[in-house]
Amino acid sequence: MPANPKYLNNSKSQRFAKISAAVIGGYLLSSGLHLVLALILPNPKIVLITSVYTLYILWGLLLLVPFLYKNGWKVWLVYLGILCLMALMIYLNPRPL
Amino acid sequence: MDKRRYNVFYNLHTVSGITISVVLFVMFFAGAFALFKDEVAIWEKGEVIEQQAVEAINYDRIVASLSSAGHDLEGRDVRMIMPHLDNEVWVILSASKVNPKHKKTYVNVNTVNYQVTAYGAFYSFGEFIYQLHFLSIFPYGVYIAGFIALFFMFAIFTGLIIHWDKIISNFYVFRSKEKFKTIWKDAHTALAMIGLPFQLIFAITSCFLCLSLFVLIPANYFYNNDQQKLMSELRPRAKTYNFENSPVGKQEFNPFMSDALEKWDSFTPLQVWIRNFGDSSMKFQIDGALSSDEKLFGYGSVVYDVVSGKVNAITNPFDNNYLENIEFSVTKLHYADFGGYWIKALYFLMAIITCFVILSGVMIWVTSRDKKNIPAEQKRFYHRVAKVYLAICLSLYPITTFTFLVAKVLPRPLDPQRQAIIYTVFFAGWLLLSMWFIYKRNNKLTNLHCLSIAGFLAIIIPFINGFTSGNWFWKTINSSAPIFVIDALWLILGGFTLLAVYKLSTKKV
Repeated sequence: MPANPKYLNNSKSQRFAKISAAVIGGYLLSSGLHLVLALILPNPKIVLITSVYTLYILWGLLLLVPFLYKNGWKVWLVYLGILCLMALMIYLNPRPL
Repeated sequence: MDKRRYNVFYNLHTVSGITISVVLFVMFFAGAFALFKDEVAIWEKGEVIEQQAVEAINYDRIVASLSSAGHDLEGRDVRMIMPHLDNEVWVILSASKVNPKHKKTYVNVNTVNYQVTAYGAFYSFGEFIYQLHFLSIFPYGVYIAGFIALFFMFAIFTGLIIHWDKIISNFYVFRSKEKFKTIWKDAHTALAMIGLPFQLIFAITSCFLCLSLFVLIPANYFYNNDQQKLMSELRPRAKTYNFENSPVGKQEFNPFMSDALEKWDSFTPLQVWIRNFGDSSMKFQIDGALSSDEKLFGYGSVVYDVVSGKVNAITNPFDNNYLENIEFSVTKLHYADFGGYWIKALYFLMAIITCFVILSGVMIWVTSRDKKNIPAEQKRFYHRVAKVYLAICLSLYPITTFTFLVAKVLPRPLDPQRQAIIYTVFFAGWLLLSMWFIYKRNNKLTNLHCLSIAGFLAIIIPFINGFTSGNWFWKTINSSAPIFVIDALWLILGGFTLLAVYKLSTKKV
């Protein structure tokens, strides 16, 4: 049977918010997390090479997250908050060059 | 699970699945055949090749042949990819660091007579189906393929979520005597469960193979855009060396290879580099691996400093080198490059099963909308979409089989036109067949005709091969495994297809 439409939200702006949060936000979070881990863990090379698998797995899982919630813009807000936190951690842990 | 989320994910699974279905079908179908890409090329040429051991290749002679064929190697990186089933080394000459006029070129060098031929002089159908598989024959096709893979992962996850509660009980359910809707549904869930590990491997590894750009963005930031440092640390095999611009005379390379081959048993070169050719910084680099029986991920390499003759860097394949083996594992898993023909046969079967899962998904989509509360006009639209999808997907099978035959019987003097002919036959034939079936508007007929044409052509392929080249499969079983494998593949495939046709045409529904 097709999904019951009474549970689906047909608003265009919500759809846009959720899909963009899933695809773009998901990538930013996944790559941001890997970058933070590379900067704070003792062996950055291992983190970066493992991301060959894990970056995409995490991105794939994060594609699901925005659809769990009713308001896609709130998801973006939370994502932006996490991204700011990551940016701060990246700023506080300079590259070992 | 709460009802709202269940319905949301159900809807997402449907929408993402329908959106990617046709392209994903083409990728899996072409990918199944692309597993045998090198075998197909040999089969088409029809030459029974006695393969030379790669260990016996004479690098000094390759260099001499390249020079006498008019390729100035000075200041280039010479990359030699070892032959897989034949005796042709694929040589990639990078742009010269000394003479900017010498641009990047590709050639083949034969390891028996050391003749240099232009790369791609023989455009094989295997090559075509391989390029079709990741859409690289279309502009931006590789990126499209990568995102299809990412959304395929999404469809796997959402499918798993909605199926989670019934995952075990439904696995044993197969109501073949009931309505079509339940047949599609039971087949879709049971086969998708069986194929789950396989499909997940492909979703993830294809993301990396097509979208490696996205891994490089954070890594690039980490290395402050220093590409050279990034490469030398994360992919030591791709490390480049500073060019000194001080020419040295003629050097010998074979002693380095003999030295490397003595280091480890069952170590076979996969590619050999001569970096900064003719310069005092010249390096001879051997990348190779242990045989898969010895160690599944046994990547190793030796880099020699040519002028001093000393070892510059070494990676022991018996050590568990995480960095080098991660990327190696991606390609090994994706290309089924680790267990001989049985693994490839299993991969082939799983790929075809995945094709079936995709199509049965489309069928569920259309049959579940066959309800009274859906307006007639909308229902007609759904049915039309399903018909177009089926026509495009199913006609891929007969046209692949037909182009295979054409590629076999094309005479060798037509070699320069091979690519154009294969493209024309395949795409024009595919278009015509799909249009015909769309025009006929009958799913049953589409299915039956596609399978009968393909099954009939598949069965005669080994015989046409026998008549035209004399490579009958009862001879090649002993003399040439690659040729035999292709004939056997078509015989088995054709046999099962005709059996399916027989069952379909005698069944009364």
